[in-house]
Formats: sequence, C-alpha cells, structure tokens
Amino acid sequence: MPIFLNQIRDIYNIPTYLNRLGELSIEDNNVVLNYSSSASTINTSIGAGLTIQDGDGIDSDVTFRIGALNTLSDNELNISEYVDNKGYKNLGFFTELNDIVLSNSDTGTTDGVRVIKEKDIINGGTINNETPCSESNRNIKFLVKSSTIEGSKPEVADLLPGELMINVCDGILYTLKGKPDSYEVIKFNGLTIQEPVTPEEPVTPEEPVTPEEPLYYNQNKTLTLPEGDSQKWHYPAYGLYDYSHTMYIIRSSELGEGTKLISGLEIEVAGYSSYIYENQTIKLAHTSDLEFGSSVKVDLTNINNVTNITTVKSEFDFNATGSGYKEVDFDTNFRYNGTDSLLIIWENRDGDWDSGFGYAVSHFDNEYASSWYQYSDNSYPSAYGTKDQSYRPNFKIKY
Amino acid sequence: MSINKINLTNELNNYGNVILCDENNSESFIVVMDNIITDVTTLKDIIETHILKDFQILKNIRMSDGKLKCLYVKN
Repeated sequence: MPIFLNQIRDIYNIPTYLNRLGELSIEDNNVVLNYSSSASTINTSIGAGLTIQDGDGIDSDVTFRIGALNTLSDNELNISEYVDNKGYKNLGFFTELNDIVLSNSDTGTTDGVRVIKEKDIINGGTINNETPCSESNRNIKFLVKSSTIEGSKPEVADLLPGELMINVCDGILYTLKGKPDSYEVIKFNGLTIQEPVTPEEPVTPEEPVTPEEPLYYNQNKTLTLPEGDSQKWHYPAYGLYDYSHTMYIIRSSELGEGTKLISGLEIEVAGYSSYIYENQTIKLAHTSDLEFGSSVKVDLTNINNVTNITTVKSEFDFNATGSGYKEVDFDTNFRYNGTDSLLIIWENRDGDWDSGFGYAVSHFDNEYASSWYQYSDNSYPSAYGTKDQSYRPNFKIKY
Repeated sequence: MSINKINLTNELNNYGNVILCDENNSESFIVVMDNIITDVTTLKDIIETHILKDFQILKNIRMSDGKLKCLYVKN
C-alpha cells in the first residue's frame, strides 16, 4: 500500500514494516524513496534532501540536496518555480544522467547552483575583474571539447554542427564547416597572440639648430665716428657730375661691441647753397674687410665676404643745403652683427649736376682706406673706382 | 674777388664752349666746357692764370668726350 508524505506526522514513527518494504526509508536525515514516482516536495518536511533510488544497488540514483538556497530571494535566484518559500515545483525536470548533484555549500556567496532556464544569460565570467555583460557575478564555466595531446584533432564524427573542440597543447580551435553529409573539420589558427606591432614612429628629421638670434632692438643711441675737418668734395655725392657712387667701411672696432639695429645715419656736409640731390639710395652690408682693397668695382667686386646687403633708403631726395650733420632715417633698419665691418654704399643717381654744391666734412686717417668713389656724367658709373687712403666723411650712426 | 670771369670765359671760348665759369660756392670755383678743341693742359694753364690767386688747389679736372669739368678750391 502506498503511503503519502503528507500523511506522515512523525517520520520516526513510520511503521517498521513499511521500512522493510523498501519503499520509503530515512538515511542521514534524507528521505529516500525507492521506485516511487509520486514523491512530493511541496511540504518542507523532507529534511536535508531527497534521494531517489532506482533500486539496482549501484550508483545510479538521483539526489536533491536542498538547503541554503532558501535564504536567497526570488530576485536573486530569478527562478519563477521557487514560490512562497515553500520549495521547488521542479516542473519539467528530466534527466537521463546517472547522477545529478546540485550543491550550494557556501551560503556566504551568491556563487553556486542555480537553475538555467530559457533566455537566461550564461555568464562565463570575465578576466581582469571586469564587469560581465550579464551584470551579475554569478557565473558558470563552460568548456568546449578539448584535448591536451599534441597534434590531436577531431574527426567529423567527434563534433556536432556548431560545436567546438580545442587542442590546448596546439592552441588550435576546431569546428565543422559545410552542410549535412558534407561536413569537414576546419581549424582556427593556433598562432600566439602577439603584441600588436606598434608602427615605428616616423623618424622626424631633427630641426636644424638655429643659432640664437642676436638681439636687435632700437637703443635710441647715436654713435659718432671719428671726426675731422677735411673737405672731400665728392662725398657723399659729387655735385659736379651727373652720377656718383661712393662707399665707406666702418670697422667693428669703431662700432663698439654688440649687435645693433641701425636705423639711420648722419653725415656732415658744408659749403652747400640750396642744394638737393635727387634719386639717392643708401645700402648697408657686412664685409670682412677692414678697408677697401685694389680693383674694387661698383658692383662690389673685390670686396670680401659681402653679406646682408640691404637697401635701407631708396630713391630719396637728399637735402644737403647749408652745413652740418644731415640726417637720413632709414626706411629699413639694418641688423649689424657686431663682428663684421659695416659697408655703406651711397648711390647718387640724380642724373644732373649743378653748381652750388659743397663737400663732406671728413676725418683723416692714413691707416685705412675707408672710402671709395667713382663718378661720371651721362650714365651711372661702373667698373673700377678710387679707394681713398685717408679720408672718410664724418658719420654718426643711429641705432 | 679778383677773378675776371669775363676775360677767363672769353679766352676759354677760343677752345670750346664755356658752360660755366664761376664760383661754385665761397670756397670753390668750377669751369665746365664742351666742344673742346684743345688739350686739357692748354685749358688748365688758361684757367690757373686767372684763378690761382684765389683758388689755389685743383681738386678735380676731367676731360672726356669733348667735355671739361674742373674744380678749384681755396687753400
């Protein structure tokens, strides 16, 4: 005669004859049923678990151990079958396996057993302590078929369509490709994950080291060069002729140390009546020469290392009327480098002559040929001129 | 001023066309001629005969293409 659990008031008072029948027994606080398919777990008086024995006396039983799961909320379990804290309905539970053991021995964590149902996300965990996509730290591990034998690979019969097999030793992953009756095993590469090759930084050519620019600025100073009282009629322009070309060298020792931003000059003249030279141009340059040498030409031939030729004042009218220093403010400043000599080029392209002209009041120095001149009528002079061994107009340099 | 510029000019005109024969300023005297038919020495001698008393130094003399320019200054 079958007995139902809800009829049992005191499990220890089960009639011994029933126990002998082997239909219901208690072992280690478990309710044990033999053959019976009618056991109910609705009531909670099932002790620590339920074991269903198939009666063959060998390891082919089904055991349910129910314990701390009940401490978890429905939300945590996400198991709709668990209702009203009364246990599981265990609906739809089928198995052909010999043993199923569900165990959650650690009640301190949420890791452990849970029921997987349709649409559940199987959380395989993460690396680097990253947050899993399931947004839950409850995870299970799912391994594909594997082999640790070097060179071992699956046959078509070893895999189902979509199933994977990995040879751990070779690091190769296999699966099936094709259609039913025509599958073949394919593999994914077993290459070592390599560090991404960082493209080599293009070699940027080093910026050429630009020598530090000397500091050029207007110091609002005027340097008076050595003065004299000699009359030099052809400086800075020769009024007796249509054209003249004069040049002057001022040595660095005369200019003093340091760079200079030369913004103008003054030249002392005398003996002029009302007199204006038209179409005058002044150019400045550096030269390594301390004086004019031989065979110098208007085009600067035989003046050494002429650099930074700069037209500082172009095609201007030079009013030489009267006597005294005549000031010429440059339109373009000249950066004197502080080391070379300064070359001053004065081009008189008036193209006409007239009386009433005067002269440049000049300094006498028999050591250096500091001046050079050439003049002509009808056309601007070219070719060779005359170096002046002794005289140079009185100049003031504005910087 | 002791220079007789009219006489000087007349003499020079025998050898060409005098363009200017006068003081350039108080310190200098200039003679400019063209169409010259003689040499520079002839002209220089004529000029200096008249002006050396006042303008003793020849600063510049150039004759080219039939044109003479010279500048005398005081000592």
